[in-house]
Amino acid sequence: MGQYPPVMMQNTPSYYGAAPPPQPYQAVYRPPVPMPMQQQQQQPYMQNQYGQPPRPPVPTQECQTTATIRNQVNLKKPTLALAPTGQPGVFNITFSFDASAPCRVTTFVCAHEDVRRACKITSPFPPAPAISFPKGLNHKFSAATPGGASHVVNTVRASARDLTSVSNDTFPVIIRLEAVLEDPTPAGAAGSSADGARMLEGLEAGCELPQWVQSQTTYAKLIKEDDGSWGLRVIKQKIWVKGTAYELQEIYGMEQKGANGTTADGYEDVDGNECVICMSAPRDTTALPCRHMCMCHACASALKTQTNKCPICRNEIESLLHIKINSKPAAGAGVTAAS
Amino acid sequence: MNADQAAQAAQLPRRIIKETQKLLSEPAPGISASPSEENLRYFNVMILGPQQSPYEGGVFKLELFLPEDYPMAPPKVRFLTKIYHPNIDKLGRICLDILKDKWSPALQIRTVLLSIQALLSAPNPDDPLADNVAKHWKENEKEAIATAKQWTAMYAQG
Repeated sequence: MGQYPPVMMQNTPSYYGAAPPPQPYQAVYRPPVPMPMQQQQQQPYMQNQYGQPPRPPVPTQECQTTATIRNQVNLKKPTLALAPTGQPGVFNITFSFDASAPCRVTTFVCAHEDVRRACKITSPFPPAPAISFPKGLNHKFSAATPGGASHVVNTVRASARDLTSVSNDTFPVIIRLEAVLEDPTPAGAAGSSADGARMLEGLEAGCELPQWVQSQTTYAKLIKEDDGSWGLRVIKQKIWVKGTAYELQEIYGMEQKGANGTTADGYEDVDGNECVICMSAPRDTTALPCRHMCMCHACASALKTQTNKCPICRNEIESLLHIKINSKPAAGAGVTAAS
Repeated sequence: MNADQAAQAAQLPRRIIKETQKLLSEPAPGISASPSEENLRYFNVMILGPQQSPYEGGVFKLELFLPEDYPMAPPKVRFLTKIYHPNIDKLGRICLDILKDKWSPALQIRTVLLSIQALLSAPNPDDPLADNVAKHWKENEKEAIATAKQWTAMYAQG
């Protein structure tokens, strides 16, 4: 009672047949068979195209592989904040960072960066003296850091507009972490005669970055929080490696799941770290430019022969980026060259 | 599981096996889906009419089939229980973008069925499949909803 008759067209096999089907569906099912009624009212089903008309292969969809760049200093974006000082309208810049080499920290307020002059930073407000840190993880930078109390944002001295907006490469707050580039090549190690000159302490704050410095620069602006206090929001981060600046961009879907992301049968949960298409292999391929890392290499290759849409956001995939992940996860950020 | 089923399961992509296991072990509220014994790509589905919809109190049977190229191609889904809805035609076929041009292989059986459940809560007469029902809905929504409730009471009682 109350059931539709099976969809049966003259001379055409059924899409479904009645349930249970009389024979295995693999034998009955032939997708591209035209269905007269469907064609009148809705798009006919096309194989391999998510139901879209076939499109010519997209020649730009090539899979690139990544080159790993070692980043020795990393400011942890979520930790960046302003802390009140005793003085009204004056705030300390505070954050946490990791350093795999000795490094130094400089901060600038309402500062301009000249990308054509090796990222030289100039500011109408003289920067506070640079602070040196040893190699180490989870360093805290705050007023409690010796010398840290002088790294402030003065909301009285600078205009609110300059502190909350970016214009022409002028940023409300710039924080630069600098280390001496670790050069693993024997030539770099052998160049010990030059090592004497390679002292961070000899560099002026915000100077043109030499080739032997590896730095990370964080650009931020002030934001009025809901409760009326000032917050500090990261606009972007760049790293400088061997004379080239790269903008750091997050890749979505790269989070590593812990042991609880693994189900009893030993396979990771559907929402874990596995390819959204086969749900078996680990994700290692990112769609660009949307940066959704959601597929394994094999499924991404299969996908690109059939569609150019990202499975997550349906934006066009211009290229695929295959990221080889070591068993021990390193820095969780990919890099693209900045202008 | 008999030998025949085991042989069938061995040929199924791992994704379909995992989706099936999860559908059975953690069913979505108001939705049940279980594979046919003859064909593990064919699912018998039941969706309960959502609360505060004209379909409340109804039990709607559907069939769902995973084509050979699933998940690159969407599942085929059809209502078996008669339903008065502007986006579902008299053969039970469903007008839903994710089943056609908006399909993505990141979607799953579960998300498809949740979308169909949502479609019951939010009929869309501006994108009709059943023209006469959509017309009824637009011209006299109150009366159309009354008809939908009647059909639910008549045909969708499990």
